[in-house]
This record gives sequence, structure tokens and C-alpha cells, in this order.
Amino acid sequence: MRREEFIRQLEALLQDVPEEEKREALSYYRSYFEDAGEENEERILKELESPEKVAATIKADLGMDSRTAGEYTEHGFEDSRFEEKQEVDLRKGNVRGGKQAQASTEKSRSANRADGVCKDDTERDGASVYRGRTASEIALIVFLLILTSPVWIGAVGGIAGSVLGLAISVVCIAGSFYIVGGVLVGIGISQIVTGDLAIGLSLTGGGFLFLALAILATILSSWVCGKLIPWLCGLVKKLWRSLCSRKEERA
Amino acid sequence: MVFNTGAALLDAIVLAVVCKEEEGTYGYKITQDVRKAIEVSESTLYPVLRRLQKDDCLEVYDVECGGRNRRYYKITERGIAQLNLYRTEWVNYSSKITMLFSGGESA
Repeated sequence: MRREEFIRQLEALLQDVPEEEKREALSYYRSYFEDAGEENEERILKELESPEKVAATIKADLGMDSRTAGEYTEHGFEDSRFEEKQEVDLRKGNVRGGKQAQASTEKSRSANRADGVCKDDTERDGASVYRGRTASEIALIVFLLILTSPVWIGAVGGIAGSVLGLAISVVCIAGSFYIVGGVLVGIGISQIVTGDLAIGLSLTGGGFLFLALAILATILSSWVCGKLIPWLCGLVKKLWRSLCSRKEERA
Repeated sequence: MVFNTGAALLDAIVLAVVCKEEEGTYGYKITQDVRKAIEVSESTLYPVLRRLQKDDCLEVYDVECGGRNRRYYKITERGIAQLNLYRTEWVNYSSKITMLFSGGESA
């Protein structure tokens, strides 16, 4: 695989990562290749293994940032690789009794196969072991989501309904206050003109009060429609995306 | 490499490598420098650098170099404070382990 091909595949694999993260990662690896020079291209491609592995490393760390995957904060993605590597090294050096080390290598090999990744290089098995763990976690999350769906579908529906209700009622209040205020001011002015100054002035004053309340309601409704609703939509989208990106890691 | 390199130690090593370069340094060079001390694959350091950048321990800037932009990393005040913390912790930790290994008083 050439480096252009590598970058292209990495870009495709990072589709569900936030735009800024994707750009940063791609520009890092692009300049990495350029700084290494063409003579090192082959070696780096071999060491990076596959765009899939690089993408998984990037996503694993993004998961860490949102503090959702607590158990990875202490043991980073690469650490499991070091653990596996240690066992391999021990086996090679015959430091530990052959059987024990052999068994653990076999275990990681079978984990590798279970994930559908066929590689001879046992040193790098950490990556697939890590993926396996995430897969079971995801399965648990999906199961819990389905199990609790009556609760959260009701809750989400309730929140969405009440926000929509709030928006509509605020708009209606603003509209009716404009009308009442306008009518009162009109009647008041006509009373002033026809002679009854006291009633006319109080009606006009009341009318202006209603107009002021109407303006406040307008401001409130524009805040609900312009800020609160988009913010809630964004929140839902973000939750959905984080769920999807986890599903993606499973593949 | 028989011993694990945990996330904190990796952060400390990267900070130390970047700290050495007053003018800042770039991804490929950082990887090569870190490799003088420990075995890391080429893909290990990007997430570490990105995280340190987000935690304000490193700052980045682009420098035009041969018709393209090269991203440079430079240590921040906060990064230096963090590195000093790691250094103290390391001296503590490693001296105790060394003492144990050499059959000192606690052995």
C-alpha cells in the first residue's frame, strides 16, 4: 500500500469522528510521512500496520477524553500491546516456563481469529484483544438500551413535547397580549378625545402595560426557538453520534 | 521491553522530549526521540500529543517548510509544571525500586 492510499483509507475510516479531530489526525499523518521522507515510507507503513489500527487508536483516545471509558484512562490503548509483547519476549528468552507463556500467546491468537483479523505477527495482538473487550461492552450497552427503552422513549418524548408546548404557548401569549394591548390603547385614546380623560388615560396605560408584556414574551419565544430547541437537538445528535462511533469500533 | 509504559509515564517522556527543544519540535522527530528511550509504534504518539495539546500542556503552531506547513509542538508553562511533577514522582518511585532491587535496607 502506498501512503496516498493509506491516508485515503484513514480518511474514510474517520468519517464518524468530529471534523476537527479528523482534520488534525490526517494532517499529522500526512506531514509525518513527508518528514520521514520517501526512504522511510515502506518501514512506516509496515509499522502503522493498517489504517484500521490507526483509526482505532485515534477513536479509543477520543473515547477517553469524554471520560466514558474509565477503564482505559489508566491503561492506554497501546499498553495492552506492551503486555502481549512482554509475554512474547519472555517466551523467546525462555525466562518463564514454556507452557504458561505459550498458553497466553495461544489465547491472544484465538482472540485475534475471533475478530476476523488474520495476522502472523503475534506481537501486535493487543489491538484485537482490546477490540474484543469493547465489543462485549457495546453488546451490554445495546442490551440495556433495549431493556430500558420504555422508560427513555417516554422521557425523551415527554421532554420534547413539553419544550414544544412551551414554545407554542409563549408565542400565543405574545400574540394575544399584542392584540389586547393594541385594542386597549385604541379605546383609551378615543376616550381621551371624546372627553373622559381619567378612563381614557387608565385604559391607555393598561394597554401599554400589555404591549410591554407582549414584547417580553416575544423575547422569550425567540430565545426558546433560537437557542433552547437547537441546543436540545444538538445534544440528542451528539449522544447519537457517540453511540454510533462506538458501534463503528466494533466492526 | 519487559516493563509496561503506562499513560502517565508516556506523557512524561513526551513532555521531556518536547521540553528539550526550545524552538519546538514536530511529530516525526518526537517519535524518533522517544524511541531512543522506549519502544513505541509509529501510531502511539499522535493521541498522546493531541491529549497533551488539549490539556494545555503543549501548544502547536504551523511553520512553512518547503512549500507546506509543518506542525510544531512547544511546551507551555502548564506543561513544564506537569513535567516537574512527573520528575519528582519518578525520582521517588525509581529510587525506591532501585533500593529494593539492590538489596538495600527495605529488602
